[in-house]
Amino acid sequence: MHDQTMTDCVINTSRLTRRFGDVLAVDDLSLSVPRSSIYAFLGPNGCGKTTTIRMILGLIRADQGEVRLLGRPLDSSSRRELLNRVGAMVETPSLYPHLTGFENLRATQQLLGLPRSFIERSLRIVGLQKDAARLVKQYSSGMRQRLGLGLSLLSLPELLILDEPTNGLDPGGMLEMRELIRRLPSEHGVTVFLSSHLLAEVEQLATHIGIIGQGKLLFEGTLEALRGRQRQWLRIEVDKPATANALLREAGCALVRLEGKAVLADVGERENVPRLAATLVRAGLNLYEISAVQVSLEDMFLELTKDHKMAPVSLPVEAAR
Amino acid sequence: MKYLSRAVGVELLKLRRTLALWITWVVPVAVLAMTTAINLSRAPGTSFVLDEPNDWDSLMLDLTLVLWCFVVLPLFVALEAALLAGVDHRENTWKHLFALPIQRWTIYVAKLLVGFGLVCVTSAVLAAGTGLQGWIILTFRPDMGLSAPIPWALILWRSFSFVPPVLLMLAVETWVAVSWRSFTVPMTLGVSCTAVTIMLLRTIKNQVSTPYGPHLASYFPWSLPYVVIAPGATPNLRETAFLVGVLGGLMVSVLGCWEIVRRDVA
Repeated sequence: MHDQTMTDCVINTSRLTRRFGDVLAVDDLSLSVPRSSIYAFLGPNGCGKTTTIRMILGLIRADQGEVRLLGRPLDSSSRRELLNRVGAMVETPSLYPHLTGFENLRATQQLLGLPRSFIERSLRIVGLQKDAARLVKQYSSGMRQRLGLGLSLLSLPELLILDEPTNGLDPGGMLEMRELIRRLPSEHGVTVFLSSHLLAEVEQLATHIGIIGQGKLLFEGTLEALRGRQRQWLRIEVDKPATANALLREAGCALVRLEGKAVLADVGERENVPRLAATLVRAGLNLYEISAVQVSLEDMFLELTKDHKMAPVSLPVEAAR
Repeated sequence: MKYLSRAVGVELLKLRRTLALWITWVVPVAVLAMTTAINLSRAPGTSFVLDEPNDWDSLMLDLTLVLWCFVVLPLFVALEAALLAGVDHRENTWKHLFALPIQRWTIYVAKLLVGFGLVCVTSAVLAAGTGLQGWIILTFRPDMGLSAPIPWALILWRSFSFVPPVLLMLAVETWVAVSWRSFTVPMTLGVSCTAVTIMLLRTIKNQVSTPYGPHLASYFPWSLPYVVIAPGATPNLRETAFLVGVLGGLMVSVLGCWEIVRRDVA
């Protein structure tokens, strides 16, 4: 990712660092977000995602490092020009509950001096035309989230920064928001940078991923590249799973778990598979099925962040037939 | 300038359906209703020609404007500043506003201008209400000797003469209200300083004897509006209070802008 030229990237951070008292919130963070991508910025709660986003938007200053937006350094002289091309929703949507949906958009439209027609366009994109005249305090969480997205899309920016956009939504609301975000790059040419700790959500949406743990970047690249880093997992269906479990452990598998009549095992390299299968057969076990396991992004994420004391390692559960 | 006018327009839009707009007319109307009731219930033959040269001056300064500048206005300014900032504290819309490609200081100055505008509206309501109050007294209590016709120029002058020095109090309250998310901080400041004002202003009326009291009152932000109209204040005190209010207000406003531009937005 770092070999991409800066002009191909809409966000470049270089050695970004921010400390709050004794707490190092963001530590030497260098990100590169390619144009027209949906870049998911992943990490557990409190790992520095929102602090990074605030620095990218100029809401807080970095102790060290540089932020480049759309190819130019973000500083006091370029701030207004660059932010003109950026939309953002940081954490919860910034709405005035006592105003209608239309009036909320009108406030931002008026501040930015945009044509009034942009309000209608924004309402259309987020599907809130029918509810535009209702007070925001009467909106559901999903509608508020969509209106927040509408606010950030008002000027149809080149770059959209969303901090936990599906936070607090029910499954239906999450689906709606996901579909909305998915359409943005193709239909409106918007690059989306979104942070999340809901890994399963992101897996279905993102083209690129950055993983952060305790303020440090642990991985950056495509989803495929992340999968390529993973170890081989197998689901082995046998007549004596307990025996298989013990044999696989003796044979050097790092993690093994029983799952009904099957055993889930981390076999390390792909080249180990024939040797392990032979071990089980030699021990007199009947093998009914051996299949590779599709490792979810969540598992990869937990694997990456385990050394950063964020979460325990979990075993993969989704089998690829 | 266009950015500032846009920001002022947005501040006004954000006031829709809020308490901040209601209290702008409800509070002066309530004060006027009370003083009208008191005036109508005075003993027969009560004259309005007191220690002021004009009977309408007496009507205003004896009750309405004293009560207004002494107690109600400082509390009103604290409440308005808290409400104006509260609109953006409520859902932390600061982070949205400050991530927009606009100059941060325009948001802050717009709040100050709208706050000052609301104080002007209350003065307009007070002026209109004083005229109405005078008409009611002329009609129902001719024995009180109020002279006709209604001197609108004098009423307007009296009702607006204390407004410019409000700027210092407003600038301090707005800065505090914007800086603290809690509604109670600007309100506590307003209530505490109103209590101090009451003590200081008693020195002007010679109810408390201290040589420095009147002088301090002409520098204390919350007492400045009253000092400007106080019947017992010397021209020198009034002039000092006016200048301190206006120049101090401008200075604190500039400091507030400087601070908010540099502030990290959590």
